[in-house]
Amino acid sequence: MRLPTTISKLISKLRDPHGPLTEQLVRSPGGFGLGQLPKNQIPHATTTMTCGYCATGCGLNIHLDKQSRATGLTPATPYPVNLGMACPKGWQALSPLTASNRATQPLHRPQRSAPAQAIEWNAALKIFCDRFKKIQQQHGAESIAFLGTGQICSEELAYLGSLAKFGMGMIHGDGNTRQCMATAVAAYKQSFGFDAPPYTYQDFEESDVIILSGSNLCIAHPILWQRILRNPHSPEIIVIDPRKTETANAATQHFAIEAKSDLVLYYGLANLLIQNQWINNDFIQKHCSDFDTFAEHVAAFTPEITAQRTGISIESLRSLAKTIHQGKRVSFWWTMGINQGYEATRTAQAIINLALITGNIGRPGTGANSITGQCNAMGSRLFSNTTNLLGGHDFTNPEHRKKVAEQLDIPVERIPTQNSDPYDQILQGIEDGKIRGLWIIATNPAHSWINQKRLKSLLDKLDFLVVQDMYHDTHTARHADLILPAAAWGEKDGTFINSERRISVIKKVAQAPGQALADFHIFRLIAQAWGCGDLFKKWTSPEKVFQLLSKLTQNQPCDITGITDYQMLDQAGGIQWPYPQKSPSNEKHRRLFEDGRFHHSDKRAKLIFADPQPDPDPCDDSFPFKLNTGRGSSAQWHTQTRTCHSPALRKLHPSELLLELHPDDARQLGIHPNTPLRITSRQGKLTATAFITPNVSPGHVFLPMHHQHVNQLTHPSFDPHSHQPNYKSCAVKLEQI
Amino acid sequence: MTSIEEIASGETTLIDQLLADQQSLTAVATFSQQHTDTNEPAQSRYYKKLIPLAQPRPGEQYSFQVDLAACTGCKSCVTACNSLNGLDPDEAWRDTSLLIGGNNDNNNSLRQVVTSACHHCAEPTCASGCPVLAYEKDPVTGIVRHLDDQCIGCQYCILTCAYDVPKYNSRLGIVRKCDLCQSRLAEGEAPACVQACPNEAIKIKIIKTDDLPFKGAILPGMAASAHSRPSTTYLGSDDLPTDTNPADLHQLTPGHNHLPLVCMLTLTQASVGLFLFQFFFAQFSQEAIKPALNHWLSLSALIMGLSGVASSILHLGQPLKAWRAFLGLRHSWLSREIIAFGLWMPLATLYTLLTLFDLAPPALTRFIGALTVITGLLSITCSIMVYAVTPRPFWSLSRTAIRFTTTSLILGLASALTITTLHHQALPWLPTVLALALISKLIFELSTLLPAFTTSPWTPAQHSAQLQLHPLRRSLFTRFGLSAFALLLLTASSTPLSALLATTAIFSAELIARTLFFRAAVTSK
Repeated sequence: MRLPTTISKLISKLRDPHGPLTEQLVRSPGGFGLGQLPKNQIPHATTTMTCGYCATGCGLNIHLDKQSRATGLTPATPYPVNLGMACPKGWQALSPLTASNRATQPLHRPQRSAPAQAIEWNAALKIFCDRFKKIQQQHGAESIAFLGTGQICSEELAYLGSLAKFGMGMIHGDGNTRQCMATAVAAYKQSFGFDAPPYTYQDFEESDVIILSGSNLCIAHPILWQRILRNPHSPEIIVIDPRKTETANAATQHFAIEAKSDLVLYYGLANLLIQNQWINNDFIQKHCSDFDTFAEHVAAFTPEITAQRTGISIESLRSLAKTIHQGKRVSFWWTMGINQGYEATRTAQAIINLALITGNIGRPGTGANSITGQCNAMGSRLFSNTTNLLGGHDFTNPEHRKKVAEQLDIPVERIPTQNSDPYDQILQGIEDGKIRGLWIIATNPAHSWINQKRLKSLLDKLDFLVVQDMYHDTHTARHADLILPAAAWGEKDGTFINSERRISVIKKVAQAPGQALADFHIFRLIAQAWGCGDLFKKWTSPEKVFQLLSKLTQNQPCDITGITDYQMLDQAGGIQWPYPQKSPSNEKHRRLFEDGRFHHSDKRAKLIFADPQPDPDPCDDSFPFKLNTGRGSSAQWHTQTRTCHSPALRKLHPSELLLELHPDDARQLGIHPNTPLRITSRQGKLTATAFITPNVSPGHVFLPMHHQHVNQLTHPSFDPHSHQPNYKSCAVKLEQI
Repeated sequence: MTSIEEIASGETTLIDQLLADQQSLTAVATFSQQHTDTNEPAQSRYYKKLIPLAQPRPGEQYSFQVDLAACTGCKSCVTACNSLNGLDPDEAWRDTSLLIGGNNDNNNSLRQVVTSACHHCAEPTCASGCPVLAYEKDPVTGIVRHLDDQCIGCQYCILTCAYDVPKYNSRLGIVRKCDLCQSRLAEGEAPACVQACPNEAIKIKIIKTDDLPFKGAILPGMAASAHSRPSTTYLGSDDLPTDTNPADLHQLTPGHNHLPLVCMLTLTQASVGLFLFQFFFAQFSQEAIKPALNHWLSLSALIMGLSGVASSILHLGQPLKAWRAFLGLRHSWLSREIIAFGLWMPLATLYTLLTLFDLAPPALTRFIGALTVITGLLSITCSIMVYAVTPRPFWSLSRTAIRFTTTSLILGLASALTITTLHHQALPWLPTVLALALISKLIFELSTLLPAFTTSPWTPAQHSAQLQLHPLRRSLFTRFGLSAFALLLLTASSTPLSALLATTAIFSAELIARTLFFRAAVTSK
């Protein structure tokens, strides 16, 4: 039936194809090579800077209005890391800046449990200095400590570490990087002689065998998975993970090993490779030490024993060893599944050993490669002045102290001669009454530290706690006596170093709210107020500090003396270290150890190994399940202080806490999907909803780490070398509520 | 210690200087611009191969093609859609969900994130449901476009779409949805989601509209394709384990309660029921009706009817544009419902006025009364069809018809009971008939709970039953409790007070039952 045309015409007249509502979504050419953008968001200029979430270090093209304020962003197309892509956090990187709970003024709590009162910067600085100095007078200079971060710029980390140790006389300071990559640091230092992740992301595209251990790359580093997909060699992608993660699903092979059987697996594989002579004897002879004792050690890990301990069949083990042998360019990658364990350093070194004995290092598409977590964890490794003296130097080495003192023009006596206590020992110091005052910068341990209840009670035991953060109400700030309002990523200048050692700039493209100041500025003010401003008279801008730091790296493996200024970094799309003077200027990608010369005095890499240790929190009849924790989704970042402010990101993960549980276990316990459960460990308990999925093995359960109570369960055990907490292995029981 | 004092005097300048520095933005001045204004978007080097070079020919249309194996669940497509289209912070036209499967085969277990946007269907039910012609299927591209300025914010398309695609924007009072970035495609640019997928998992393909599916579903857990013939294809959907299901299959999240619609449906149905009673009572009663009683019957019916219609206006995001609602008459049951009520309302008003003031000859009054009853029943029929045509088993034609007609009957009788009792002209049969009607309805509603007690695999009916028994159990118990209370009153006493109490309880229970109707329906995706 057709309506007469006049009626049709009349009806079409009554339709509004245009108007103010339609206008809201009109797109027009955005210029600057951006393609179409919303008509009301056309930029006046754009500038590229590095994302402030993870260590992938994606380049983001920030869209600016006439006042140079950021109005939007798109991933930078020519940037050598992300090739025009970003994960959801990157796309939403600007949204946390405008959150209503930004710290806009210093806040002081005259008594614990009293509401915090807004005060002026003057008053805040006075309280800061008075209280900390008083504690030092009573209990010694060592009685105050700091806990930093991998989230602020290298220049700021250097200022913090130098101010605290050279200026304020602290000995102990550490960072939240202890929670994510301390193991990789310890492993590389011992094996290679320097903390030197050898790879470049281009290796993802050049391998023919890619082995991902304890890494859910698709979710934790989506852009690096993108690089794997750009690999033209149809690589074998092997995931070793107790869980069938998104990455395991997408891989060509998945080995769902028993919880914490990884060290045995790698020794078993090494044994198979050696027994079959699937090793590179030439490389071992020229570039490795301790091979014979290593071979002897792994001989005990026969295929039978390895199969029994890992739950992987002997045939699968053989086939995996063969795949490694047949690969021409095999790269080994690991993330938190390895780093966050009670024998993590030896496990990371077991992976490094596999790369070394097969000669898979220093060539394109190879390497034993730790993928880091935070945007500037790598900057903290070189410049935070915590574990290492600035620039990868050693506090206990008089030559190093002398060099740093001369370069920085400070009295050498200002530099501590002893190493700092690591994070867990600083906390122990609070427990023992040795540490009385604590300064926490840009991290949220009251959510993220292992065995959370103890951590919170320790914060409350302190005489004085300062929290410096962009938000005034983080889980940690709620315990603070003094809260210093910090500017965020995007509101300050500086540099980050990403996982592949690429140094790049971040820029000030938004105004900080209220009286919030860049951490750099806050450190400057504190230096002045403390009375040590003279030590830092040259430290007037991030770029000047960068130049000081780059001089400090001279003749170090991380020598970046060839980088002159921020402009150079910006124009190059970031520069990987090392970059000594007279480096070729047109390299987009650089990997280490191409000459097979490592950083030990004999220039050889060490094959380091040890016997597997018993699980410090074993399952038994009372706690029969093994709890693993990890990243929940690509839309969530750590303790979610930032990502929770983006409604677009909040849509992308479940709103409730889900416990992954195998169908067999659910059947046995009579647990139905989506019903509430109580999960109890030896440390604490919480409730979660059952998510029944065969992606976890029977006997294993998994919780995303982003929920504020998950670390009430986790077990306080640590790797003895890296002091990294063991987040991945905790015995629990499950009960229906 | 001197420095502290210095702060108080000289150093304040440093604080001021740093605070000022903090507010100055210099990125553009400091870093020279590297971008040259090219015509070709930089990103096109990656997405060129992901979109068609030519426009669809006659009989063809654009469609999304998602490669499940390539999608690893990073969800950048959602945030890119939000950013590149300038949407509100919580708005995105792409959604993600999770499929799990292979429960009995650990080596073959599945965890598959699914990204979906508008499927630009061959027979878009958003368009056929829209009362104001705010949707059009582009004759050249096949893109189903939403005309934002035409929309009255009735949100009916949200109910008629089987894939939960149109999204209501409460700031603007309208629905918005994916337009496949048609302005980008027109210029050879890729849609936002295609541009942003690091894994190149989303492509735009040209397909023959005739080839779009008439049966099956495009993915496990998605609505039957026959409903609207969606154009999206999921590569790899044939290889999923046989027991693949949405991960949130068992998640008991009640739907929206649509309060204005609950009031509108309940009150208009009560009104039509009472007019029906009044009309037949007036025509066929053995004894003379007191005029006052007759007045109250029709006046009460009119007041309920008008309040019901008025509350429906509260549901609209753009009530001033509601006059357009006749435009969709040819295909939209909502349009028909609005027109039917639009006819009924003046007739009911006229009839009430004629009854109240005895203005016309009885034959004319009777005629208008008959028209009121007929248009009223027609309106309820339209109301039933509004829900019956949506892809929700809980709202199937028979179920909705039983609910709506019994509501009309029960509330008509209950209102009549109170009014007649208050006017001392009680009908002895009325409480019994009302009680029987109510009991029948309760038995019917109880029957919708039975699937919860079966152990069969998941069905929508089972899910609706679980929703009522678990998250909605308070409403359910209140609904039955109030009804039981009313039944007790009806059988135990016949005083005006007990009649009034019983009627109030029945009305409240019916309102709650109608919220359950909305909240326990399972939405397909």
